[in-house]
Amino acid sequence: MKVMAGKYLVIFITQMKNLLEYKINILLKLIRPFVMTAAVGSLWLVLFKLTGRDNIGGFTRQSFIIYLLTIRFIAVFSPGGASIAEMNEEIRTGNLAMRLVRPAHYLPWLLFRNLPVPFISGITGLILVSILTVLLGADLPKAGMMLLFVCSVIATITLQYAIYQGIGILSFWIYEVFPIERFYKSVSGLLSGELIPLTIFPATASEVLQFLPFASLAFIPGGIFTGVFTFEQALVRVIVQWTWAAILWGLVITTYQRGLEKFEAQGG
Amino acid sequence: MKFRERSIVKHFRILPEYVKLAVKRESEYKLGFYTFIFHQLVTAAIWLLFWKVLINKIGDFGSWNYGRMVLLTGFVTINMGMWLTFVFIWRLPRQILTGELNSHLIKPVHPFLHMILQHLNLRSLPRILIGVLILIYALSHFELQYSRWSLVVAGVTSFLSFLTSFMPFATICLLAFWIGRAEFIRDLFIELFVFQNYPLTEFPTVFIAVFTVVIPLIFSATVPVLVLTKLSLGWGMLLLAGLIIIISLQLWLFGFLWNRGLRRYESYGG
Amino acid sequence: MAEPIIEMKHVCKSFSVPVKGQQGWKSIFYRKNQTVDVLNNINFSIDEGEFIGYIGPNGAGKSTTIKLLTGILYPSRGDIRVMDYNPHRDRYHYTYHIGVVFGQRSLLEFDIPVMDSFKLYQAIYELDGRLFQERLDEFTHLLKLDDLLHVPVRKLSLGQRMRCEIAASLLHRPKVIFLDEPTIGLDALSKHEIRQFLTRINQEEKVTIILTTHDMGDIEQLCERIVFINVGNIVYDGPLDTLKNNYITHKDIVIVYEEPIDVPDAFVSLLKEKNITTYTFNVPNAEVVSIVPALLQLGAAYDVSIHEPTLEDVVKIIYSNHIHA
Ligand SMILES: Nc1ncnc2c1ncn2[C@@H]1O[C@H](COP(=O)(O)OP(=O)(O)O)[C@@H](O)[C@H]1O
Ligand SMILES: [Mg+2]
Repeated sequence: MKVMAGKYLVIFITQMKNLLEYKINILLKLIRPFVMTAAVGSLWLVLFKLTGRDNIGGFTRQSFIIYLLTIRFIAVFSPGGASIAEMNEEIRTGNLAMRLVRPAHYLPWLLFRNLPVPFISGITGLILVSILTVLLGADLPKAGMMLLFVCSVIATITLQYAIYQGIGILSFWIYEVFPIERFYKSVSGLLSGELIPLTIFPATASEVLQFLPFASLAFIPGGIFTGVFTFEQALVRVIVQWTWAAILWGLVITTYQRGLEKFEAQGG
Repeated sequence: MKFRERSIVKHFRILPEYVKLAVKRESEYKLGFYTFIFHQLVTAAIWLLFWKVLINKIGDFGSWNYGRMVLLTGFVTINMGMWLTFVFIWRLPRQILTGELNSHLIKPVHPFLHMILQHLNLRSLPRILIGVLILIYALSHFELQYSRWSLVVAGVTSFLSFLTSFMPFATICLLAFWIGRAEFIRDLFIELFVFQNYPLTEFPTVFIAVFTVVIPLIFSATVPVLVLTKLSLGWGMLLLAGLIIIISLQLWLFGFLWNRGLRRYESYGG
Repeated sequence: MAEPIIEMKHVCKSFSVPVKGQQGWKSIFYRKNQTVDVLNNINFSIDEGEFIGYIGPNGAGKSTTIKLLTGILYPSRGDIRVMDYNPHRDRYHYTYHIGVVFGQRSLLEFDIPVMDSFKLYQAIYELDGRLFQERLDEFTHLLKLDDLLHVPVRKLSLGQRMRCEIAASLLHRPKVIFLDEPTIGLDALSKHEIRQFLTRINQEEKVTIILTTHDMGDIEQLCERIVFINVGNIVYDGPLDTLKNNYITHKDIVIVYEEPIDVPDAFVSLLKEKNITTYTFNVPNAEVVSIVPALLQLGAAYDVSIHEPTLEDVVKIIYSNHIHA
């Protein structure tokens, strides 16, 4: 068991070294997600200014910025489109065969390979956001809430990996999964609360959206951190998150096994 | 100098061949084509929904009401559609880095044009169509004031604006000749394109300046909407002239760097 | 005497590569580079209709030379002329007249049938429809392409693909052809077909061919002249036979005796290898005839054979000499 875990740790470390070879690139990679945050943030600042309001959908200027940064740093943990492209390529060219002949499982292999960037940026990011929160004079969540927040973030990451690997696995059946990824991105951009907090939606819509898996990706952890929910509300939502994570991972694993049975190992 | 022009003209003459090739490629994987259309429809719908939700909650965005937001979304869709036709540009850094450019250099072609045209992406056509449909919807459903002439000028601006956003991107990709792995700068740069979707006139002046002069994304959608519904024809023409100057500068810069880059090309591998 | 069709004069090429293992934050924005010389002062000239074998160990600079000759790379120093063109400067016009095959890269579109790629080539090289068709028919016959033309490239085997690649790069009747390891990874039959085809093109159309390969079979069957490059320097340029004669001074005589023998002092220096009852003697060419009978007298011989080193062996000797030199 110890050896097994060690193996994936080495995969992680190797990839980390790989990245550090190109330090400037890792820097750019870290900055990249924040362009989007800057864009959404500036749009909202313009909105606050134009409307002259201090509270839109339960958010002040300040808590909105914190919200944006929080969800961004959580999103940074996601493996990203490149991992889907890689999987798509490996499955359709048959190169997956080269991985299958080694004594390591493919899914965790991918997972650990994709972890280094998120690992560095996510952790540093969450610390930065906490400091910023204090500096901006907003309250950090209380201990209990903080615990829920951590549970929520872990659920979000788990869910993200399930979704990305799930889309990648579709390559066993679909030649090109890129459009599916784009489609997922478009939909989740709006429905997860990445562009606008879900509280901006009309009441019923907002209520329903919060229980779909999309909300787990951004709005729930972001909302917990910025104090949108009461403790009970937050607890219920974290439980919903974990339920979705369990369901999706179950789906991913069974689908992957189905796919392997179908795998043709073309080429070579 | 003469043969360089000849090499460019030739590509337009054999354009039908390139298009045939693209059709062939698309017909090999029809499913991908249809899912892509679906994705494009959903993306446009999501943006419309976004503005709808926002404007319902907090009212108009300065002088931008929902009707104009729909126009904005239509123009962005068209712009990104034209872009998509030449999306192979995305792979330029890799082509340079791994020496795949070789296969274009050993033929009597303009290597850049050939590379791009050989990989035309026809999925752009449905996207452009979706954009046009959104425009038609906007113009017929909302009370927007426009004249036939402003429609023409806006159309031309929109058509040309594709180059204003495409050329800086292409130029960034060229950096691979010098720094090798330009993919990371490219990826960072493309993120900025989200600003195309916003009504940039309501943003602080710094933003407007940057997106007009440095990375002229303002022409993709904001300016066409202005030209169509707000500005006098004279102003519209003036903007168009400015656009043409910007494009000429961009083309010149790109050509200059391309020729410089080829001298440094290392053709790694093999 | 006609002008040579290809001429390289004092050609050098160097690349700049980042120095490995740079540490510290400074290296984020600034990386130290160093220049590596890949080709040093390459000179040769080639006449029309020659078939040149361009050989050398991995990393010697063969592909780099081909890339310089085809206008892909810009020389750091020196002059290159091919058919009165400067390959890099006149690239556009020049490429109408050359054909290039890189064994490790495909020129064909991966996802669509071969024929469609050919059609595109027809347009690019501005080939007349009738001539194109004639040429295509000829190639279809020679390279057995009938069943391949309408299959997407990704479904072709390596050998099939290479035949198509070669056809694609010769459709426009180039005067000079550059082949960089075209037979890499192919089976004996595919190699044979390709060799036959190249010989024919070379002899009937007087096409000049430069071929790099690691397969000495290619060289022995195709090339009369070889140019041998090692770490960026040409170490031999001349007929294949001369190279062989220079290096093949000895032959191996292998004798299998019925039981182990005692080798007399006179022959000990010739003994190269001994394996139970099999003895290998390395004998200068001139003495073979006189020594064989004497060797057979040493014991009851069971079998005898005489081996001349192959080109493969010769090349091995040269590689190791120059690498350790
Ligand atoms: N773009 C490049 N940058 C740095 N070094 C290169 C480059 N291309 C080739 N080299 C180096 O030049 C040498 C010769 O390469 P090449 O011509 O490909 O050899 P080969 O004879 O095997 O074809 C090798 O040591 C290779 O590492
Ligand atoms: Mg080589």
